[in-house]
Amino acid sequence: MAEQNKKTLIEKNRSLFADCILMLIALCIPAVYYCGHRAVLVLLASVGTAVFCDLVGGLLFYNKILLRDLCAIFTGLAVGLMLPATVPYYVPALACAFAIFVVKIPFGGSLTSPVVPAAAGFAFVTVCFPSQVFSFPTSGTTATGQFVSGTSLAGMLQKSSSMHLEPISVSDILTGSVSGPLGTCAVVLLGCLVFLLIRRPRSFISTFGFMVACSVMALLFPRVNTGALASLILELCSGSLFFAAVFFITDPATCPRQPSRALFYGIYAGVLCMVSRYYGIYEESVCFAVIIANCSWPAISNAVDRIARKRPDKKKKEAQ
Amino acid sequence: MAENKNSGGTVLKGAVIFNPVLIQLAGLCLVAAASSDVITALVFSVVFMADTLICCFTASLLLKKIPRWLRVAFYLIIGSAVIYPVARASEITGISLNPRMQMYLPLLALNSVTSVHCEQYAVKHSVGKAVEDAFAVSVGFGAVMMILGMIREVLGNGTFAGLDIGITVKLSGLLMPFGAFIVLGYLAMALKWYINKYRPEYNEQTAMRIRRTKVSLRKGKIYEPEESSDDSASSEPDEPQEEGITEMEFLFGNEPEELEIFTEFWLPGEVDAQEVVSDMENMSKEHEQFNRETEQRVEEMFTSLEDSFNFEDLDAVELKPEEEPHTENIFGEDFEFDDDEDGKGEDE
Repeated sequence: MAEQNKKTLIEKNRSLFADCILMLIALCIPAVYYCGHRAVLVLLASVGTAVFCDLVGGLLFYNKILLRDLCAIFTGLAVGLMLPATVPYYVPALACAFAIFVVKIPFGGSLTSPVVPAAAGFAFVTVCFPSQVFSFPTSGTTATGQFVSGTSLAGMLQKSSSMHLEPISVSDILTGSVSGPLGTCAVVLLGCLVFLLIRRPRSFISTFGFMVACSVMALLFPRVNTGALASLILELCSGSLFFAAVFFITDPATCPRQPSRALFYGIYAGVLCMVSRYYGIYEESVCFAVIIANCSWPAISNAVDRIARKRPDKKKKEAQ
Repeated sequence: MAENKNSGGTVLKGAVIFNPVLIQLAGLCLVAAASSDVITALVFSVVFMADTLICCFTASLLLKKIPRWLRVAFYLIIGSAVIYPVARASEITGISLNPRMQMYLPLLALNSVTSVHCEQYAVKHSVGKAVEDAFAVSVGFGAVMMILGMIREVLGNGTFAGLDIGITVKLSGLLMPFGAFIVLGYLAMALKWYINKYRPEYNEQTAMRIRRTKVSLRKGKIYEPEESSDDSASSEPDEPQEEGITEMEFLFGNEPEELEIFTEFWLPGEVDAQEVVSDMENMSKEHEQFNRETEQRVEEMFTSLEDSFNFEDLDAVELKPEEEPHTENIFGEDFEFDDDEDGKGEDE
């Protein structure tokens, strides 16, 4: 029976990754529209390396092909979409190699990896190549082959406290026509969110908790002094926060299955994300927040369990 | 280890098969912190060897009759006596130590590898054997430090012993402690693979042995033995249903049976082989008993079914098409995992 259950779990996992890949492909369209062939090459480098590493790792460590779980393709697309179009090709390749060889394969595959492989891969290249990872081109320049350095919204938020929404069009922010990673088109991400709500309502719970926590933190502790609304829009649409909310917080291996726990997990990750944004040294540190949440959540969950388990005993003893 | 009179074999055992860092997992923090380049790793290895040799020699020669609680203090004093001259010599000669060395060298004064080997081996054996063991351990520790330092410096900094070797893509993350732990993990894996393949007689001893504790699994909650006995006395099992389903319950079913789960660890090489063998024998005996009991139960179940079954009704039985399996039969009452995730919207 255990084998049968495990097979069922693998099938469900694959189905979830297939949905995520569909959403990521939708997100690739605006990325290619704005950044041209460069985006395609970055994504190809990323996906190709992930698939290759998964193939080699599976054969080397387990003597079987692990590609069927679709985790490698998901990891490749996710890593590629979190990077800028001007990044050297070895950066997404190294990120994917790290994600597969250090996070996915040694811990037994996508079902049992303790952290989201794509988040870990991105965090690794962030630490190793911060200048390349955070050098974003100005929107519209990469399609013509010219790279003009720009400043992303997250970078502006980190440096400036008097940002207004007027000089930056809200429609540009929503359509992703600003400096930033490839996968920042907020409209498509909103569509992905609706897709997630329809297809996987239980996975949506953690995303909802994450977004609510980030929104509340952005409203209560704004980094800009030009109003709460500006803070909310800029925080949610800058960097990869929205992206992580849709794709990383819902990871089947790390997200709790019980709805109430998934909600609290999302809130916890959201708070961590905003705190790391406020105090982190990098302009985008959502991946570090996701990794910390992944690692610390089981301990928190167990501690809550123990406290909840001991309470009725104490009451019984007191009653006796 | 003590029984082997071949010194080469003892050194191989202590340095490779029972490697203090990769197999016994001792001194990991020191290794991770101080192995960022080859020169630092070399200095640390040499100082470590001097410290361990002197400590083990002294422990075997002089400290056998001293109480254990006092011996640890002596190890600290001896370690400090070894390390202080190194720091002092650098001041006198004007050779400035690497800041990393200045920071972590004092940690060598009382490192876990030296203390463990003094306590577990040196004070119980003769001076010759203690020194031999200390040498083997130092070689193992130094080898890991050097390999780690080389990999981290070459990949992380693009240099070897301070000389540029022309690597343009530098993985500076490897110079951080997390990089050291990742490389250590892969080195440990490679060593274990070597032992499993070429030294299978040491498989059991070098494996991460784990001690079993019995817990009771009831609808998603794991109870420790003491608490489970209290719960069994009470009529209700503390409403564990609100917990949902756990991974273990999903994989092993929902029966409120006692499972044996591995929870506690001890380090390989720190237990006697005899103890390991006896423990394995006990485990196999318990498993045999469990299998016998299970067979008996199944047999009883079948006999009771045969008694209750009326064979005359067999002709009246009509074959029906197989029904779709219900999740309750497999996963218990509250199981809803992922059924709604397919978009069918069954329960949502």
